[in-house]
Amino acid sequence: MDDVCSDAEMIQLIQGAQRWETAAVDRLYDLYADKVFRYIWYRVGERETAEDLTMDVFLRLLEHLPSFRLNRERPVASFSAWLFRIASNRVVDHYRRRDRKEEPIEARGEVETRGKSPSDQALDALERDETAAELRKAIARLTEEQRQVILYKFVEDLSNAEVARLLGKSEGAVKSLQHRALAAIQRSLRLPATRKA
Amino acid sequence: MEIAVILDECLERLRRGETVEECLARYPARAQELEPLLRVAAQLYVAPRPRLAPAVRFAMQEQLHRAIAAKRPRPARRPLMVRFAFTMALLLAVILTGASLVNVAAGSLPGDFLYPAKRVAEDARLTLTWGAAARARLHLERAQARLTELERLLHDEGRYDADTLAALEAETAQALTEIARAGGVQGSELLGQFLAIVRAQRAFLSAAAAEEQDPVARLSLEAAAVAAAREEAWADYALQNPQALVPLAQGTPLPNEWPPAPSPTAATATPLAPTPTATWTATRTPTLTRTPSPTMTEVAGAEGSPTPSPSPTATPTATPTRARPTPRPTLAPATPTPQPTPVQEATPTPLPPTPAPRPTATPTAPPTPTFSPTPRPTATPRPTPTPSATPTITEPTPTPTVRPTKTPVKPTRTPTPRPRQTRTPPALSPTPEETETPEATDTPGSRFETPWPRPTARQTPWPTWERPRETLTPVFTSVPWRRPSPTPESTRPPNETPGPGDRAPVASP
Repeated sequence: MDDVCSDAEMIQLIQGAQRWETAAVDRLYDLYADKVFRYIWYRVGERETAEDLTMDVFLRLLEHLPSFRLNRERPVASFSAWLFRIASNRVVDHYRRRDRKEEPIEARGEVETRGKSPSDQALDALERDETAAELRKAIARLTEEQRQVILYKFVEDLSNAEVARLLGKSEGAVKSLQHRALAAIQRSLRLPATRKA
Repeated sequence: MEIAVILDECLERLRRGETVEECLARYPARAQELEPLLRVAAQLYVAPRPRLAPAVRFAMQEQLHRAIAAKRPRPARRPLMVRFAFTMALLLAVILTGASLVNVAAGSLPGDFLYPAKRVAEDARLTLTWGAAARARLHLERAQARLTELERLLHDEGRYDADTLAALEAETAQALTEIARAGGVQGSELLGQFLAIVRAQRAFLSAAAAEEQDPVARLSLEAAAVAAAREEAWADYALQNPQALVPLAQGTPLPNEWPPAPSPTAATATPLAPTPTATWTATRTPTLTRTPSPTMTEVAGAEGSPTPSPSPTATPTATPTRARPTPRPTLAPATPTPQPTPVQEATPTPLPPTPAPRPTATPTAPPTPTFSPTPRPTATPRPTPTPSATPTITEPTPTPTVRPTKTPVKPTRTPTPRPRQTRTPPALSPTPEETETPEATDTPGSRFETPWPRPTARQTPWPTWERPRETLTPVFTSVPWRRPSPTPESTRPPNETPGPGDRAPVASP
């Protein structure tokens, strides 16, 4: 279970982490490790890669922490936006480094799912769940902005305001992106577009 | 209302727990459009939420801890320059603390808690000083410091410190050695400083000795004053004869004699022997002042006994130059006090007759007659050379007064010295011996640890001393008293000590 953090606590945590206090960094890690991992997992579809990238994200966080300036009006949203931006950039970097010849993420996901042996500990129940795999693949097909909105809103339970801040857009734009993203997923999953009453 | 807005409201309701159907019921007109989207959203809300495996999570945390540790500034990783600067700062702090301690200790006196720190700092400074001239200056500074300490001790605290006095003398002597080593123009300049410092020392020590109540301390101060006077005279001489410095460079002690002094003085001294004695006696008078009246009584007794005559014989001749002789006459009276003396004293008397050496044994026969008539035997012997002198000597009679202090003890002792005299007289009996007697007079000089070479001294030293005489007079006055170390003095009868007769005989052989 992910913890909840108040704005006041976030201010103290950031200040402590900037003084290289282990306790403060540990608390931030506890708050955001799973969220970052999920975000990355939904984007790369590979557990091990997601774990490696998650580790990279937190190492980059430590690297840039001294220069981070917290928005004291919305400390939690400010830090979350900064952390997920790092994660997003890390995923982008990951793909940029990857050989262009590699098969696209959708196909890789399918192959990966199929190719994993039952004894493979890297495959958890989620990855074996076809519904979940389909959903993840549908998300992967979204545009970057649509994907971010979906992940922030439905996986990380962020508010429109937080997502807007993270994406640097208005809440109305977030609502529009959300609508378009859901329609795209629906098309991917071949869910019935309409239902007759 | 836009579909995006309606959808967002429905999503919020789904989040709060409403079902898709309930949401669609709220917007029946847009239900067909909303339903697939809400179904997708419902799937997303229940979509898998993968979490990091505990082991992976722990491993990641460990890696983060190492990263944090690497980011923390480590003291061990301070740059070399920073460490060097820190060390230097620490060193500076220690030095400043030490320096302030030394500053505080600078005003301390012997016996104070911080005084050892002061001396250690001085020693360290001396150790770090190179060059004879620089070391000489430092020794002079240290001598001055010891003198100041001694002065403060005596005047402010009313206590005398033998160690400080010894240190003062040692510093002065070392300064002289270093000055000799420096030589040249620097040596002359330093010698001038030395002279001034030693002069101040002598003046202070003489005055302090006069005021000192404790006999032992007084004797030490007097002796130091005499030594200072000697150094003063020597420095005065060396200023005009720089070559005299050369031997001292080897660390040899101050010579007892230095190059022959102007012949005129010597000439004057010899012929006028008696007269000078008189003059010196006068100088001595101050010493006599000390003596309380009791002595007088004794003196009277002494006078009564004609015996004193022996000493006089010797004294007159020698004394002239040194002024020491003068005191001896005074002694003569003391000697008489013991009964034995008279007989012996008779012996010396024979001396005038020169021919009879041994008459001493028989002394009674020839000498006694001559002297016995004269109430003052001492004077009598001299008559020939110095009838005039005798009067002067009479003045010294007060000198005995000085002894009174010691008088109590002395009576007993007096006898002992006498016998010695008895011996000597025989040897002295030859007239020449009388001339030697003056050497006995020199004895005062013997106060200086190094005995004054009597033979040479007679010819050369006297002249040299002429200058200082005036200045030194006070010092010399005390001399006779010092010679006898505290113990002997106390034992001796006051009159005896100075007795020229005593000394003359000893020296003559």
